[in-house]
Amino acid sequence: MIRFDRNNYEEYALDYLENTMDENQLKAYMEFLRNNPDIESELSGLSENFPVLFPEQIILDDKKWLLRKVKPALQKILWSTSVAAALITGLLYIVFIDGSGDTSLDNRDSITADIIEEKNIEKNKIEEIDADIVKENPDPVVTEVTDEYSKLNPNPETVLLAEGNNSREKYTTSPREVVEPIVADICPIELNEVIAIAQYSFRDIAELYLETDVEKNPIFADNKTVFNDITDDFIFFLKEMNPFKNITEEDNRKKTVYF
Amino acid sequence: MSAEEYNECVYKYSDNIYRFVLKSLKDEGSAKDIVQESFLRLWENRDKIIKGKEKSYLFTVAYRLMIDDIRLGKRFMRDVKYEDQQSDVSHYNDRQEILRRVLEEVSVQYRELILLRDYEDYSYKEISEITNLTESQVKVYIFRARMILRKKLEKIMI
Repeated sequence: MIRFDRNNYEEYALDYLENTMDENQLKAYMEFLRNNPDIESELSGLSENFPVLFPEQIILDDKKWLLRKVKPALQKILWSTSVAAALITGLLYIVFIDGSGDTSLDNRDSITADIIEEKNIEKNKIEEIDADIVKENPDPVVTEVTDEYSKLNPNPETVLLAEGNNSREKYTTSPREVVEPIVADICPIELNEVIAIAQYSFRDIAELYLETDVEKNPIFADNKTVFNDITDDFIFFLKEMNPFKNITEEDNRKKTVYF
Repeated sequence: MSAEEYNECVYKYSDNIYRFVLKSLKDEGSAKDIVQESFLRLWENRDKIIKGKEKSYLFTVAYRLMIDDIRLGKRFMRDVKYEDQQSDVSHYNDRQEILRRVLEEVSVQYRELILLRDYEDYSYKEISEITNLTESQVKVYIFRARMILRKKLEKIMI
């Protein structure tokens, strides 16, 4: 049993006032108060006018600076967009560089330069975001894919759209197990090597390739809302549009397609 | 703790932490600094913190950062400045408004304890864990703080 006195009564005062004492404690504390009327008066006054504060609403107006980037969702978007755009780049390579398309070499270089210029700002933004993500959360998948790419060591001369572009390795990925069988199925020629290089948006490449406004194209008109989140859409594009359809058996010589 | 779970903590607790520090220190800049540092430490220690204890962890860190802030002497200047700004509270009609006002006149330690108890509804045991005081100390300090508040309140209300 606790013995209450003038030295320890404060420690139990709140238990008394908030009625959390057990019966024996309460009896003993009341006995102490009867023997110390000045303290009893003090506690009685507090009990009658017990000052409790109600929470007031104070809002930290801007919380964005406290938040952390959520890696998986953002990276997925960047990843899928990059992969899709890169594959289109590869397709362009086949069509334009290997003579299957109508565009001349000079024309192709000019178009390429224009695209690089136009997409430079966008690319830098993506690189900054990507660098932050990788810095904060090194991704074993990214590392693995990059290593895989470095082993392939492609000859830069065969890269059409990547010349002078440092982002090549950064955006290299290998959705090969997904895309290669589809390409193999619809492409009449043999592709010796398929590697990804992404630096353009799927939309711009598609427009360039189709020589049309994507939004007016009936195939894409209904899919534009998901146009940038692409893996499935890109496969759809491959199958429906078959960008390889003009390639002939004569083109079946060694090619390197970077996407 | 994933980034999503951490961000959930930001949305759920940042207002509480900010209010606690702001009401204790009465300095917006310091309050935001301490909120930022508290959440930074939450993120850095995310793998060590028991699930469900994030709020207590944040309050513990914020409380200790405030103690450091006070020990560094920053509070002295602010309190002097605040003394100059004190105004007659007699024009406040609402009892809660007066209480909030007189709360600012008690010592920072009493103020912190009252805020944890009344605003955040922590038990005395939880407050002792946050503040590293014994439960007995917490009860004595809060009792004394309430006695001071009551006397100040009565003085104004009469």
